[in-house]
Amino acid sequence: MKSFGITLRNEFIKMLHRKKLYAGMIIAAVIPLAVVAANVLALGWNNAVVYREDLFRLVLGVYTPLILPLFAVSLVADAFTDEQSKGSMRMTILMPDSRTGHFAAKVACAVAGALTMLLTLWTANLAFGLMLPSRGNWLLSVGMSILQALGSLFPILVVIGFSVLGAQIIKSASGLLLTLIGLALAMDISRLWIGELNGFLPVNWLGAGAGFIYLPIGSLLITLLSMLLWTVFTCGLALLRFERRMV
Amino acid sequence: MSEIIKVKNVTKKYKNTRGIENVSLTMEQGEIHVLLGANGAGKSTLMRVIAGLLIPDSGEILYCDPDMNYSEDTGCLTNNHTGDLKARLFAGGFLIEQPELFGYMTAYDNLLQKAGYYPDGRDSAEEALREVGLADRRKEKVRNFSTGMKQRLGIAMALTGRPKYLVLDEPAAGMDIEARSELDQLLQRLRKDGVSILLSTHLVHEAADIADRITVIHDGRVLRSCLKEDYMQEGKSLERWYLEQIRVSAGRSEAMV
Repeated sequence: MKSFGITLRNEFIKMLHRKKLYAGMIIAAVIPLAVVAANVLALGWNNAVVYREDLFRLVLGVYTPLILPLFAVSLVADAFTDEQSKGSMRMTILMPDSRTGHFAAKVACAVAGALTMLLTLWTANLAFGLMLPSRGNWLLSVGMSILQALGSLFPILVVIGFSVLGAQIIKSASGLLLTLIGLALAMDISRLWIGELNGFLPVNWLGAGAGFIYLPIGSLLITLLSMLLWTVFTCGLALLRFERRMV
Repeated sequence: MSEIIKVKNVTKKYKNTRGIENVSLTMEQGEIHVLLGANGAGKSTLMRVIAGLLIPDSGEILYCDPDMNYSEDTGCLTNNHTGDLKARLFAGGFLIEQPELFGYMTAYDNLLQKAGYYPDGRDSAEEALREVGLADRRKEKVRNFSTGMKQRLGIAMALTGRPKYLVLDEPAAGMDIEARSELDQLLQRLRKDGVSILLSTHLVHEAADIADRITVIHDGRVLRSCLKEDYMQEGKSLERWYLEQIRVSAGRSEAMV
């Protein structure tokens, strides 16, 4: 357990050196401001139709389906594909911990990176939201926005799972990104043929942003469980491959 | 002397190339064991298997902690493969091919990646940098290092944690004559301190200068393994002795066909 703590710390330090993490945070910080500015510029200060309570849902609708998944895939690509192609994966594997430990630390840091970007978005939303009018239930909306942020993390876990699995097979970061985009498109198209089953397709959850947290409790639990199962399944397959991989 | 690493009948085959077949060897405590063979003979494959970078198709690698007591009946204590691997990695230091360190980090920060696993890790990292002559460059980013400096830093990484044994794959590659001489002196000092060293090379003179034991590997198989005194008693130069092992092996192969 102690060696895993060191492995996790090492991966965390490596993640702090990744410029994509900071790029994702900057974009996350700018998006709420962009939404506020666009609203004010278009309609004037006194005619703003975006209320403070609605801002987070709006920005998540932009950030979660597209921007955050791209950055999540990039973080995974840096941790796995880039290290393998540059040869530094060898140095990582030679550290005194098991391959499972190294794998788990890399996945945990990718999740932490995504969470950091979400947290930046949430904080920027709180700050810039103060420029907008409120319907009067601001504290309640702050609480809901925490749930929305946490809810948004679940689809990103699925993206991370698929990215980690893809990274064991595809040797370049750009190849990984293109493959995952292709997979998402293929899933989207397959909705035409699979009827009711399309509710279990990961691409649906990304498109929902964090809107699925408004589902009835039963549907919500099934959705969350499905996302966790997809994540465990893809990461499990990826781990099997990582354990036997030539480095 | 006690054994520290036992490689028992290890085979690793690749799809398109030979790999290694049924290789056995032993690293003894406080001994410099040189693995001598041409390029493509299987030296790197064997070293990668010992370091856990490759999973062998068959055979096993046992790590025998020299600080533990074990009975003559059982020999080394063995655990399952995973248990052995972590213990093996913790006790060992490895330099496999050209070290690809993290260029965006400083030399010292790279060593801290490993140092964190050991109670006196930071001290051993500082010591390792001094041993390889990079103490004054500890705060420089590795991306600015020359090939020789990266090789020295790779050796420093292997020395971090004060390992009980070292596995060094062509450690002198990319080094100038002065650096090679310093490396030889360092290895001799480590041997005196009881560290076991497995070193691979394709240069016969390198093996002759430093080895206590030589294992000849050719076409993925161990041809012969003996102490330096044993081959010297035959009255031949190491180069001649080595070429003879290859010839004898080729003769055996032809006879079988």
